[in-house]
Amino acid sequence: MIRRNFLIASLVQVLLITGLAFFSSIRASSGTVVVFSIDPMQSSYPFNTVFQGWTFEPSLDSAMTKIPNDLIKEDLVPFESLEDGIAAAGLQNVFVTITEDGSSWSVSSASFSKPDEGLFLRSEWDMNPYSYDEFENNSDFFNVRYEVGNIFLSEESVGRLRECLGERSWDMDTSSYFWEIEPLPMSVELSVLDDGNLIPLRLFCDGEEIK
Amino acid sequence: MNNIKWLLDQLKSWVKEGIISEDQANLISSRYSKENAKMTSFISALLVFGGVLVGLGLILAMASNWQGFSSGIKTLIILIFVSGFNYLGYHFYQTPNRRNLSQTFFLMGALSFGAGVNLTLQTFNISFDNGQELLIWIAGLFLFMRFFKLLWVLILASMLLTIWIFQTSISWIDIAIYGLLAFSFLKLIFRDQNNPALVFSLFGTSLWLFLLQLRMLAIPHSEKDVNLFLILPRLDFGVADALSFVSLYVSFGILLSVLAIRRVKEWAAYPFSILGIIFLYFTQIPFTFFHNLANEDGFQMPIPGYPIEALPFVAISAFVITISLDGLRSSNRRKKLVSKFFIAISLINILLPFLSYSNPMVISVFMNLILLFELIAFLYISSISRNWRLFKWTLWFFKFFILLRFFDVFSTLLNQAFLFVLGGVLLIWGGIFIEKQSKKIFDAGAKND
Repeated sequence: MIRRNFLIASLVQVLLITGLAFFSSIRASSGTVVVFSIDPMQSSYPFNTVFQGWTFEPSLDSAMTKIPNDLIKEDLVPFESLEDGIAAAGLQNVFVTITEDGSSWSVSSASFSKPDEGLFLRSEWDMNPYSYDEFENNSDFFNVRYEVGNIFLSEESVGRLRECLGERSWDMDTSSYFWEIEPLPMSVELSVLDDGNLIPLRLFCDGEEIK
Repeated sequence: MNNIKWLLDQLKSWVKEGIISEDQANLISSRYSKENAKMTSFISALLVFGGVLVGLGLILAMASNWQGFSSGIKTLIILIFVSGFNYLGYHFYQTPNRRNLSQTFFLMGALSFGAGVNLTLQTFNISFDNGQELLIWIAGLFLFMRFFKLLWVLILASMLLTIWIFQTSISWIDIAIYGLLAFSFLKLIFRDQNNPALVFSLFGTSLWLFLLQLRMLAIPHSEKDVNLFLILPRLDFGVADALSFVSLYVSFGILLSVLAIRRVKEWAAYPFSILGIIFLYFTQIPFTFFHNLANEDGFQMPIPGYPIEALPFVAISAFVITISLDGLRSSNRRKKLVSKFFIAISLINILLPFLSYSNPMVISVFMNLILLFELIAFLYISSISRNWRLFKWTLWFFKFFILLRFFDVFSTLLNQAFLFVLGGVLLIWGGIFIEKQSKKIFDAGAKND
């Protein structure tokens, strides 16, 4: 006869896996589904990990990451006056509200605090030095970064993804990247949760689904 | 340890305790020869190696993210693998003489469960930032380890827990979770007398103590329980803070040494002894030549640390002092001496961060004296307490220390050729002398035993 202890321990494992699957699918389907274009220049190349295989983390394009200053609800605080310097800006969440504009979505406002209504995405003030310089130069926009999450791919899909991402190289003279092979237009389907967090659902390249 | 080795070890203690006679012990041990034990160890190693290969193969297969199946079918396949291996493990656990096979199947079940957790997350594109998938993996293994004596699964889980603490954002919640899990794991490790798992857990605990102290150091800088790495650039890390971390590891090393010398857990005396002296030695040695490292632009002196960051090492030292106090009341002179030593070095250790108010040269000189005192005292204590493993390791560290100081001191006074010739002669003479002395101590110890 199978001992009760063994059954309990096995049941816990079964519950953990099925619960994880159930919770993940419910969580992903609870959000609002949106599609955004991907910036191939900012996205990293897919990488392989032991436990989870091929992984790709897309970056959204500048329509979503470059926020005009006049869209922010609060007064912008200069970096110098932030308590504890630049590090404080890294902790700063920016909630970006989006509205549907025909078949696409666009940024309608941004706020440092969570909005009470509307569909919004949680982002972080981009700490890269370029955005800092731009802000210091009193430019009319600031950059944000979204935690889009990882998309896990099969071996077959990775080849196609590499083709879509093109091939970039560093130009020493202009100190910038240029395209050796031009990328194809890419987009990602995301589930936007109530708290503004994102779960990637599907990846598209040139209108075709990769995953 | 395989079953036969365990039995042969147990026989000695049963005879000592008077449970069985020496003749009976000989009769039993003749049935299970050392050759048998060696063969069983070899088979056991083969089985575990095979189990690990199968488990890793499964992880890689699942990680390749097969798209041909629906998420429901994938989940079902995972569950069949996990339950199948576990059932086989359980089946052989009940069968006499099949414990090794059972351990292998349970290990394969544990590895495929981990693969399953990762595949489920992968199927739904869920990614965790702080290694929560490792926690889910550990949670799935916990009851199996609780209900059965699973040598390899416990080792695997201890490794996973140590890896997890590396991946966290070091929030207070992470620190609390690790503390609770490590405590539960230690209970299982002590129950199963699992030495490798103990070593992983002690390394994990030492890292956890480091992070705990770092988190305390960051208290004045962080209003919220945020990722510690975001706050790190804001910390004014000074000499007092660095010395506080030395104090932390020295106190942890002292605690392990006390546990080893007091033989709190006889079977664990080896890892306690070795890790104890390693923590104590390697954290202090860089400060024995601190004057070479400190420059005017680097560490600024004195930058006093925050008193709260001292809490972990003061707490450990206070614990060591408390458990050493009963030795002071003992009529045994040796026991009294050992207790006095541990209380003394614990008190000195607590005061170590105050050295930051001196200058780099004073720190170097003081740390040299302290380390030399500790090494000599450890040699003496390990010899009178018959802890020969601790004695040998301390002797190695002592030799290394002398060598280091020789090159450090004379490299500025002598020319290179002469330095090496003299160094070589001294080493040969010193090696012969120490070898003779240690042989004398060993022989004396063996006679007394």
